[in-house]
Amino acid sequence: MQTVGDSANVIVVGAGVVGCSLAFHLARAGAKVRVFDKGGICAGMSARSGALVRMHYTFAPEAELAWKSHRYFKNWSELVGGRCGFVQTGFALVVDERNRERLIANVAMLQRVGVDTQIVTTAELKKLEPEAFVEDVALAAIAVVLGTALTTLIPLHLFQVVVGTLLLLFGLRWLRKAILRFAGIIALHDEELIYQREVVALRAQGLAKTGMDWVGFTVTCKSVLLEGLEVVFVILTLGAHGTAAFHAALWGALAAGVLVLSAGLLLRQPLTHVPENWLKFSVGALLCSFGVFWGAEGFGETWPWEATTLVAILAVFLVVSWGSVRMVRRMLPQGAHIAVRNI
Amino acid sequence: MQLFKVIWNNTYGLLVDDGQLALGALAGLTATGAFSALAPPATVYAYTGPMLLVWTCLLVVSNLYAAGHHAARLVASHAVHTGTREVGEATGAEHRM
Repeated sequence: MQTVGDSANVIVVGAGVVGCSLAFHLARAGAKVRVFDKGGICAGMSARSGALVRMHYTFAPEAELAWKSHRYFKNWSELVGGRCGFVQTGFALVVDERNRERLIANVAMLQRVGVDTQIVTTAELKKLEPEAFVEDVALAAIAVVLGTALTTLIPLHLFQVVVGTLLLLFGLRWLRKAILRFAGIIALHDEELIYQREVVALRAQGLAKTGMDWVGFTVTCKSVLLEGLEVVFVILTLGAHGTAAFHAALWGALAAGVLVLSAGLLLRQPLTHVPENWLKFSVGALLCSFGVFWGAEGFGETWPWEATTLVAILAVFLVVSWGSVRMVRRMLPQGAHIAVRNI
Repeated sequence: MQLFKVIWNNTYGLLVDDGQLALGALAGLTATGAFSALAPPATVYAYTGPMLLVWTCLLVVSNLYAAGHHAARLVASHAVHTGTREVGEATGAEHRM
């Protein structure tokens, strides 16, 4: 019978970041190492860390350890192999006048350890990080305020679950209706007629000659604010990985906004020739795919091809939807045609 | 109060068309959350997503099957009611399942 002692001269119990690091360095030093863990590699607290790599510590040995590990994070593929996802963004600690002396002493200690750090004034900080003062666009301002508060207080995975749930509910609603329309169970939309009816109904309810038009106010709020907040949540979810990611998401959203407006103006006429149900079907399938992707990621899924998995999820939804259209069509008697609302 | 009611109706209408489908989706998400909290991490990393995807697909298919079944019954009853096997439009029927 083979025992552990035959294949290893060092046993590490616990495959968290400390255990794995220990085993890695012992193995590099020539030891035969075996690692045991009841849950798997990084199954405990290591998987739940904030993934923040910083050098600013007040305890010198801790700062020294962090500084030594920094070399590994920066050169991971050469020193360890593979990718660890480390992105260097910089770190700024802002203190008030009362903590000034303490900070000066702390920075002096860090510099003795070798950490590349220095004290800067507010003006110098503005020069180093000018993007931290984005305040010229309304939604960008909301995103900055909420982003700082929410991403600090609420964990990223909770955001993903909330956004995923909303997208899934919204998407399923559209997808179901589009499938029922393709199957002939509910009538295809006549968007123009619906619009005219809506206008008449709203005018009948809301337009008083004097006073506030609450119906008009609510409808406008719903249209603009909900869509806008949806964008804000997307920015927050994508940008919660750090300042650089946040700014990238913010500028990406602004660029997308300009692009969508321009595309809307250009494609307004051609799009009227695309059947409305095809558009709704595509949007429904896309929203469902994003909902499943983010919802599951929020619950801990690590998708095998990261964001590219979205294409596979979309393909699954399209195949299932196509099959559902055929299934429902077959259930109706030959030649039957009904138009039942809210079935 | 009226304003809140209108806002609620608009928000509810934005997300929910069929109550069973919405409840099924929420149940699936809750079950996925429970699974991720109870299962070993390696299983969570690998199976949470496929589980939610399969659940959602089954939900869509079963919901549409029920809708199709209901529609077929409506068509049949309409045919019986009019005493004909020729099936016409039942546009007046507004029925919530």
